[in-house]
Amino acid sequence: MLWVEKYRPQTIDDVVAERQVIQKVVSWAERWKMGERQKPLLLAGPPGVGKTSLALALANTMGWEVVELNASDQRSWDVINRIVGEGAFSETISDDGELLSSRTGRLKLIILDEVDNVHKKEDAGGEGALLRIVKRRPPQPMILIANDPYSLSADLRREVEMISFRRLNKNQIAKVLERICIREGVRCDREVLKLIAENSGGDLRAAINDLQAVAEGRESVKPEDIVTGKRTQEIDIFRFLQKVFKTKIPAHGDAMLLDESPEDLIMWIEENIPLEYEGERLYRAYRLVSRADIFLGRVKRRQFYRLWKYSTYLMTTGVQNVKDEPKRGFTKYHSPSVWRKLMYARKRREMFRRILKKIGRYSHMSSRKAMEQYHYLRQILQNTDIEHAARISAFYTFSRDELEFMIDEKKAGEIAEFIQHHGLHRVEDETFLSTYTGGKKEDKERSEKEKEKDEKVDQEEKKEHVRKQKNLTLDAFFGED
Amino acid sequence: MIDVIMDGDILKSITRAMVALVSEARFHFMDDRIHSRAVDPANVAMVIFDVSRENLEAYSIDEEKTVGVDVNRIYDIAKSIKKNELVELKVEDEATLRVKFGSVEYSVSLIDPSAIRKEPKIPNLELPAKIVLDAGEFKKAIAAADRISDHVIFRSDSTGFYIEAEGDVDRIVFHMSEADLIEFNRAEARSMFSIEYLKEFIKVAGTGDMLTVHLGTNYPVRLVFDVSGGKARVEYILAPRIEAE
Repeated sequence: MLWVEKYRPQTIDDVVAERQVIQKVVSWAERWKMGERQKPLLLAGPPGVGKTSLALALANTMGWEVVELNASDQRSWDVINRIVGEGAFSETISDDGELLSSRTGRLKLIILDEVDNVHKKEDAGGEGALLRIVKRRPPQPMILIANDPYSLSADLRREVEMISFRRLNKNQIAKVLERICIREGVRCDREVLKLIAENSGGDLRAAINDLQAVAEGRESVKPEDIVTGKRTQEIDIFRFLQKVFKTKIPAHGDAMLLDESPEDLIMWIEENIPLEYEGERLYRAYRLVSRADIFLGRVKRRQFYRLWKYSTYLMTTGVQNVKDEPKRGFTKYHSPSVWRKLMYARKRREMFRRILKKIGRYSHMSSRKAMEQYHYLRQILQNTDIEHAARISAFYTFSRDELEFMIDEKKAGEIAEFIQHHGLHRVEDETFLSTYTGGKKEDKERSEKEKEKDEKVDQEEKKEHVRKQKNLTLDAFFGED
Repeated sequence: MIDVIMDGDILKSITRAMVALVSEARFHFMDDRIHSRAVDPANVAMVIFDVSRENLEAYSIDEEKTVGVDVNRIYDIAKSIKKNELVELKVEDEATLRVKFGSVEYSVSLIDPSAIRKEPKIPNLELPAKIVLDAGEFKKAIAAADRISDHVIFRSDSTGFYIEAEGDVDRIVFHMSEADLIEFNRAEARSMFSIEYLKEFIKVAGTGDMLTVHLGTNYPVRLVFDVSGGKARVEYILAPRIEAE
């Protein structure tokens, strides 16, 4: 049996975590017990720090039934939502065949493990369904668990109470290992435990697994028995940048452990070079990055991924060795601004397209044609008096944002206010014109209706016609093959 | 060694009943009957089925035995059994179940029973109201309610048995007076349930099958279906929805 399972904490007191975290979780559970519905909890943190253990121990302590959904091949959003959607709103039949009524405080804890992983594998729509369930404030407590909470949507994060777990420190881990050793009757050297703890990088589960690997079935373990290889740990980008800019220890190996492709990595490095280097060195670093970029281009063009190696080497170890002495002090690294700029540009492009569409629709022309008119329209809006400009804007139903996009902010604001103040709006219904024809109104309407009908029939016929033609061409196309 | 010959329809019904809640289950081949039960992953509903020895065409077992069955697979296979066809189930070693009907024989690997989720005890419920009706009628009511809501209220009092559903704008009441029911004890009870489950349950039965509803107030409901011409008994226990205060 795995020691990790064997020594899973049974009650909340056995859980190794920061005191604040435990306090928060316990008070959450207490409030549930008093009958107050709470937001679901989101336990976030790196692997192996006891998120799941805490949730299970909590249920155990509170005497709650557990419905646990952990990563398995059967799990998809569909299944999760069915189970969660029903389970969270119903009473419980326990494994002992007992009805647990929420009225008497017999609750059921629903644990959704690795929610962030489902998101990646399955369609994104499932998360929306979960969000809807959460928004309905289920009467049963729920705990979501994720390694990377930021891969979940912001809406979902808003609907839950997030509790972050930090990596455990060496001493905490060593203490747990020591306890296990005593229970297993293995005499373990202090040094050994320290070594294992250090190697685990704050991952208690990894540490316990390593300990089991060296200690199981033995009576004592000495430092020289430790042969477990160094664990590869996923590292985060900021630590990686620190290594690149502050040290000369070759970092190209670490680049592999990052969850970033070289194409993204180069952005990170490029963005942060000017924070660390200046003058001649800045120039040299950028030259290396540009060389790296050339390789990236070649990878793309030739689909020859082995070139990534050179590219990574240049952008990491290459950039590292430009410096003689690292810049002192802490540097706050930025995320690449390119992405932000791209997003901004896309937004502007979409806005422009929307404006053109509006001009096109109300002035009866295509969007492309509208582009020719756009600049004149802008001039008019900018230079005529407010009332005039407002009437034109209302005619095109421009929103405030769209006006701000076209002309300077001050004038746009004035126009928008004028429109709002005077209640200007576009008259969509054009039947009012019929009053000019007086008595003939009805006749006209009728004839219009008939006309419409005819047109519809016409259109339908046309459609069919078109379809037939299309079919024909397709048939011809396949026929030749 | 287990060797059972039964009406194909029975196998279809009992596997259909199980797949509504779980994908794998333990089947107990006991001296007097075949029995299985399971709780769904959300701990909201339980399914129990029994087929007694008299209703099987042939039944021979060396000793009482429990096997783990992938019910999804068996149900898939059972779907292709024709009406009135007999089916033979055979377990010779621990590892495979052979399903034979017509001219085909399927071999399906069994699952180690200890790997399947722990079986629940059958709850001891005190349910005052007992309503016996045609499963077809019940089916109609649930199908109608499904269109407007995700939960229904079962209610019974001296005037009859009610199934009520409320949507955002519309409302359905399904009422059966004592005269419409096969058996009714006029007890008062009222509970709310999720349609999502009921919808699955009713698939097991058809018009002409008898359904017994045991109902309490804010308490689980027991739905006992007599299926395959009364040869098999499928029972569902469903925990009530928590009503918003």
